[in-house]
Amino acid sequence: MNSIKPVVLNLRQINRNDNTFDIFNRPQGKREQASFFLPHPILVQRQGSQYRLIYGFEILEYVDEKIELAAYQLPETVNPLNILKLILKLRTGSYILTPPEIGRFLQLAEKLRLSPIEMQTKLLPLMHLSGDDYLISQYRSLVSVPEPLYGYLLSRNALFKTWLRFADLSGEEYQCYAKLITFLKPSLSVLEEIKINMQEIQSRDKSFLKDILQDLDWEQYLAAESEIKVALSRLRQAIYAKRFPQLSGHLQKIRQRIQDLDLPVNAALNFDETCERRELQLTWRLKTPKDLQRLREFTEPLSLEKVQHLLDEL
Amino acid sequence: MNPEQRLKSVYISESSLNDPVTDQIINNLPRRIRKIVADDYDISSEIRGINPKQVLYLTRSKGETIKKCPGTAASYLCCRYQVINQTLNCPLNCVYCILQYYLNQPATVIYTDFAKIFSELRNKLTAQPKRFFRVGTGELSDSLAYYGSMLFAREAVEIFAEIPNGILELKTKTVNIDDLLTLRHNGHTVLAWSLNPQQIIDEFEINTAALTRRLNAATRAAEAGYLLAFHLDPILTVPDWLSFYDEMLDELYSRIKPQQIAWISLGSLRYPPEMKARMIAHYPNSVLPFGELVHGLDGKMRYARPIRVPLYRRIYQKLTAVDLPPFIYFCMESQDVWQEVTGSTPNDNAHLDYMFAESLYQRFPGLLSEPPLLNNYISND
Repeated sequence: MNSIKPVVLNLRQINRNDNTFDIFNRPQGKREQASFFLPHPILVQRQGSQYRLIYGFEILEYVDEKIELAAYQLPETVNPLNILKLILKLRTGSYILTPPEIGRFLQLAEKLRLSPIEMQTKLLPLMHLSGDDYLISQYRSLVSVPEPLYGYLLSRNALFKTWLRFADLSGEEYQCYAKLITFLKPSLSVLEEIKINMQEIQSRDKSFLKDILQDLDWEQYLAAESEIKVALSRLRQAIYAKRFPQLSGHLQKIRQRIQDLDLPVNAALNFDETCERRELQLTWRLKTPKDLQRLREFTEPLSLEKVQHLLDEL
Repeated sequence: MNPEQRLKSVYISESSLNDPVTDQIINNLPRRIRKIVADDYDISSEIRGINPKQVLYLTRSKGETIKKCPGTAASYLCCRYQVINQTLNCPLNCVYCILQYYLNQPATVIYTDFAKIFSELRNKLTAQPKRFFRVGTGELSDSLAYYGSMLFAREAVEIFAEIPNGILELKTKTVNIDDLLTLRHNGHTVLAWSLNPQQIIDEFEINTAALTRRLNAATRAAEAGYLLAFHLDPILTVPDWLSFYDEMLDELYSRIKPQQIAWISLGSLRYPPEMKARMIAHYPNSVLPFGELVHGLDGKMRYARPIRVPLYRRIYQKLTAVDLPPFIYFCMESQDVWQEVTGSTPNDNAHLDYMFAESLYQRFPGLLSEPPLLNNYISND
């Protein structure tokens, strides 16, 4: 790397059609990110009469054609591994790479003919990762997550394991989740919960997604005229009931029993929804004599008998 | 198929060569796959990527090999069973097996320093002479699947015959009992089989003996005077489980008298959450990871209690609907479940441990030299 030399360039000298190294993709877009990267150097490499851009794609979005840029020119003979290490050093100095950025980076490494061993031993550790070919292939699969899922996951800082759930979707799955995030706008954790449950129903029943969607009457939730939150909540319940039919039946029965107790709004009877703890928790906010009177009524034998039945059923 | 035939390589630590049993084990193995290594040699670099079930490592144990069964968190009752970890890993392939998650050795390990292990055993049991210990080798392996495990079992049977306050349990899904039938066991060894309906064995217990063969073997063991035990664990909620388990229990009692059974355990499918991914990776077509499991109070995934209780209740009622039913207990279950299914519950783990001794004392005269006292169990962990 000793022969890196400074050069002054204008935009016309840079081959903007060569996007080989344009691997970083933030949810906010390059132009919006450019000011953040202004202190970073621009790296180029001679490419015929022009220069190929190695690093600094965001900065180029920010400047106009008249401005002259100070850049560093890497020798054409430099080892690709060293270029990648340099990019990584610059990028990760101030930024945490997103999972698909790591995927793109590893894809680039492969394109530059780095061996799997070089990737595992030289590149992954620089990203604080350790793993084998399988891990590399998992990261690479994230690159192909399509929009709007890609943007959705990126904007919510999804973790690697969450990204993985949405890699390699079939066309049908893609349609299903793309519509879900467009129409019902679930939080990331809710989306993940739905995805896991749907996947597990499919695996358990050896069924096709289209059959499950049909059973659930999926489209009715998306087209719901009711409030989005309500529709999403009903959809989650329907999926949960399909994934955990016995348990959800039991929970429904318990909830109904609690409802039948007709507690006042300032009281609540809660229970452990995993049902491992066979107990009820009563909270009762007391403020007025009327509240006290209502509590007194609740502790009468008839009400307590109902609670006992509830406990027995729990 | 003999599991030793599936091995790709065998490593033998130098010190292990001094143990008489090592010769016996390696004489059964092809010479080309054997390699002798220094005691401190790390074999993992040589066998990276190879299934640990295909590599055998004969070595000497370091530290204690007899431990309290790890059981689970305090929210569930455990019976304070003692385990001898002489063989680590198992050649059988059960989809639900915890070992695929629990063990991280690169090879199947067989400890060959039997004398040291038995000395540790004697020390442990003589230190609490008033307590009756149940000790087993089937926790981190099948007790009888590997030849090295069988050799250990053979010696252990004869050693337990002389130990007044202990009983050995050899737990298996095989029928490899021929070598045990003529041994002098003095009633201090229980031969135990894990049982599941044949439909479940076919789907989830790969390489194991069929149910009928297990029951045939149990019958032969009983004829040789051994006490028997059965472990209905894990009970699985497959479609039609009710009729499957009913048929299996009918078959069990048609072949084995309840009076010959020292104990029967019931336990339902449970595993650490992290094991789910491992199961899916190892057995991608299996439906087991997708049952109605919730996070239990110990953090493990288990069938929700409203599912477990009817399952247990049905089996418990069937098992106890006989004269002089065997002692039936739950493995890692809550007091709520005990209460709901049996109508009573042990107070705690020590009490459950004591209940075993009490049952054995009552049901098998002469096995314990004196009646057990709860206090001797409470004060000792």
